Amino acid sequence: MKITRRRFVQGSTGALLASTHILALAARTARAAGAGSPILVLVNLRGGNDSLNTVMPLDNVGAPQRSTYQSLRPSLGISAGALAATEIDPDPMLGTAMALHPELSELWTLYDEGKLAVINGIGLVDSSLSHFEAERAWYNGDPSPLATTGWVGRHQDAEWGDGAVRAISFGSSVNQTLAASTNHGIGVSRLDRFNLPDDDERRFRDLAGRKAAWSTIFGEDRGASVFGGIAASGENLVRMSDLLSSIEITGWGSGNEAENGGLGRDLRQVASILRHDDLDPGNPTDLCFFHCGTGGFDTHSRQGTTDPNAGHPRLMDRLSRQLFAFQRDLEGLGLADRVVTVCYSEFGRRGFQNDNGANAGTDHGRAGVAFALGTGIAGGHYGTLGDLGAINRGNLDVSVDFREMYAALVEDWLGGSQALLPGGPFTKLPIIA
Amino acid sequence: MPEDTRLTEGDAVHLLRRAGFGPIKTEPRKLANTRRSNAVTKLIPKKGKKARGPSGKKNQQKDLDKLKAWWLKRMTKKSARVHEKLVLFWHDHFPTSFGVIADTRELSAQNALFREFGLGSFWELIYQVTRDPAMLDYLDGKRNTRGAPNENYGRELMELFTLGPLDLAGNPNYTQQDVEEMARSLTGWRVDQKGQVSVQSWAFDPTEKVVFEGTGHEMRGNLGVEDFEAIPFPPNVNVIDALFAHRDSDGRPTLARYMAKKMWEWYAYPGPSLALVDELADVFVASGYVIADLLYAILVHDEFYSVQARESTAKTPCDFVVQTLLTTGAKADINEAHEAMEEMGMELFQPPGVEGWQPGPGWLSATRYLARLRFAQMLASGRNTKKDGAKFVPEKLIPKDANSALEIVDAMLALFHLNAPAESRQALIDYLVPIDLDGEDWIETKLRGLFVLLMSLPEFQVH
Repeated sequence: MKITRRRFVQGSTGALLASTHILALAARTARAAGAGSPILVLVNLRGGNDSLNTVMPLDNVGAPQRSTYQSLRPSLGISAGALAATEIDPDPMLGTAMALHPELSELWTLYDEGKLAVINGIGLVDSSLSHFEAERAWYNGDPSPLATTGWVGRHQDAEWGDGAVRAISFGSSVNQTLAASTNHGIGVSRLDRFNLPDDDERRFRDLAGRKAAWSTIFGEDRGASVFGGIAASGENLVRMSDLLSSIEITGWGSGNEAENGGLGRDLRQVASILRHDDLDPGNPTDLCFFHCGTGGFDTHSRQGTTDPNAGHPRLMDRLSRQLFAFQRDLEGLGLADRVVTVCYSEFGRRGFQNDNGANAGTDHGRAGVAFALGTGIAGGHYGTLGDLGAINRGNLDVSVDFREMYAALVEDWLGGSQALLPGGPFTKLPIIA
Repeated sequence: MPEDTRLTEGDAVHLLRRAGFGPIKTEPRKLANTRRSNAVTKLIPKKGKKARGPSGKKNQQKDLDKLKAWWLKRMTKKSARVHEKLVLFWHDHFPTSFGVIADTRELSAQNALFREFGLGSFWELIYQVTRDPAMLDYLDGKRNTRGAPNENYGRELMELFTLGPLDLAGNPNYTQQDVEEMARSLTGWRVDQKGQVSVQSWAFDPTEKVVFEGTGHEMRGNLGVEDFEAIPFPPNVNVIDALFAHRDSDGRPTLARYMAKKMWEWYAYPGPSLALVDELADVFVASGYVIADLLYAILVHDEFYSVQARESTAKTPCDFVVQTLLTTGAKADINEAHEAMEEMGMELFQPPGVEGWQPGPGWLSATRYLARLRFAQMLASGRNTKKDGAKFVPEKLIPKDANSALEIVDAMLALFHLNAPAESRQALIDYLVPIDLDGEDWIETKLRGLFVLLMSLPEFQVH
């Protein structure tokens, strides 16, 4: 078996990793005593990320994985030569050498530092390959079409049930993951535009008067009607607008500072909120759950391989840089031990490519890949790609039920109970250090 | 018969809000006491129109802005409102995004397609959408060849456009094999440089396909949609017919139920009863799947005038913006209106994904609600200081005999056809006092501010 750089590094810096681990444990003990809650950041790669071009086999150890990969993807396959610098630990079940996409070099660095768990073969065991069914299952933590609340929403309801806002969904709407019975999340696009509007002409400003009216209007009891839900949203808006729009989101050396939009901006806003709560504990937002999304992963056509300007490689490049910058921001701010970031996608894509020319892409598949990132994560390679030669109708088999990851996050990171995941109990994926 | 029932003024407000984009001035009073059948027949256009927005150049944002401005303006036209609401429904049902295809000519043509075919036969609409250049690009239909089948359109055609993944009893309507067979049946579409669409023999898969194998509605043979001479396949081998022949686990027509439910939810309220869905589906089938007939059946139905229909559905950003413009008579900077709609979560020609816009309370997330307040502020502040800018003259809307804060508030609630609960109504009154009807400062701050508050009422977000 080859000695990868990662194993070498792990051996030589074992003491360092162990000390980080103790710090993380200490942080969790402190949290239990009420010194701030663990933070969970979810990043949804919308459209179904092509896991087979995110984590690729390099050889035929355990099964003819490399040969099969090349025949499934004659023009979409990535050459082993391009993957030398991003090799990770072998497939945990098969022993096949594996590597991250070359544009994930920053994520590889975090893997190398023991902060990244790569969970391959994760997904819904039964699925119709529909975006919407798969998304719903991931959001709800429950494949049942009858589920109405999200898994993070139910966790909040169980832990607090007090109606307070502890979750933000970036991108204007509230992701279903945060749907709750009592502790609703709020949707925010930009903190710096979260202020209530006033008349542009100085002479006619009257925000104070309207705010007083809004307090009454949104505070009026409308019962369980649709109006009541809307009024509650308005109340949150008025209550949180001053605080959120006052948060400083620039000028502190953030690695994501240059990002104008998308995931980079959202992650910078997460770091800004956590920094605010850290610096100003007397006036905290108390936000501890964040949901971000980034789209474009539904690569039915023109997917590309390694050209950083092509579809999928470009997505990989941006994701890698943005997550890396976020992690470094948190480390620089001294907040890294409190935060776990999880990247997921509703499914992976078909094993074989659907065309041979420049249009080549991949159709919907089943198993995919997830990443869990943080100093509190037991870095490494989890799950398995499974035998590519035995795939069913071209779809990768699920080796890790997505709820096994959720169970670990709920219990081992958030300190809750996985009873909120119907169909359990699930074996917890040992990703939390 | 429910359709013979006469409308109350409140019914008329509701009908005009839902069928179009809200009443203009005294319309509800004029419509009151009219039979539902007469009012609805007058509202629904007799046939499709070929009106088409500006096409511009291929991928210019400013051309898209012109197309959006053209459409929004059309929605405010009295004669076009009801038709455009239906066009918006089809844009939501068959979404195509500029962000993906970057072609205003194709988007403008698709928009015109919905206007022309959106009232008639649903079969014809599906056929036209299947061979529409924008859709062939957006869902990869033109990249679906026999050597390299692409499942994108075939899957969404069944999942989102006609059947749904599960029937109303929760059973799957099709399998992954059906998706693959459907995709093969839909191979061969190409768009030439002039935008002409045809099925090409080299790209079409002529071998046998089987959709819905082993069911009572199985279709087998050399399935397709249209031949190389652009003539539709006969019904026994046309996959569009297979969708219409589909029966769910209750033995009911799946497509009719799916579309009846979806259209009801757009016009009335979410989660209609099974009996109601079946009643409407029966109308749809009996009409030969004529969309205007389904729409008529919805708009004259007793349930359409129920409390549930009036108090359960959040206005879309488009409804919010257009209704506000129609109610206040204000003139908005059209580009600012579109920017505001984007912040509210609904940019025309940029649906978030192939499932269209997510309806329901999600329209009122904190950020989206804030965008509505911003739009209200922008509209109420309009002083027409620049060319093409916003203009709003609030004092014109106040009746001459309204002399107290209470009278002004009640008159404006009536103008918006709103019922505010007691404390909120009092908050509006308190906001205005002390009144100074002749004072410029009072008019410029408090009276304009009142409209911001009215437009922000939870009751105004619902219709």
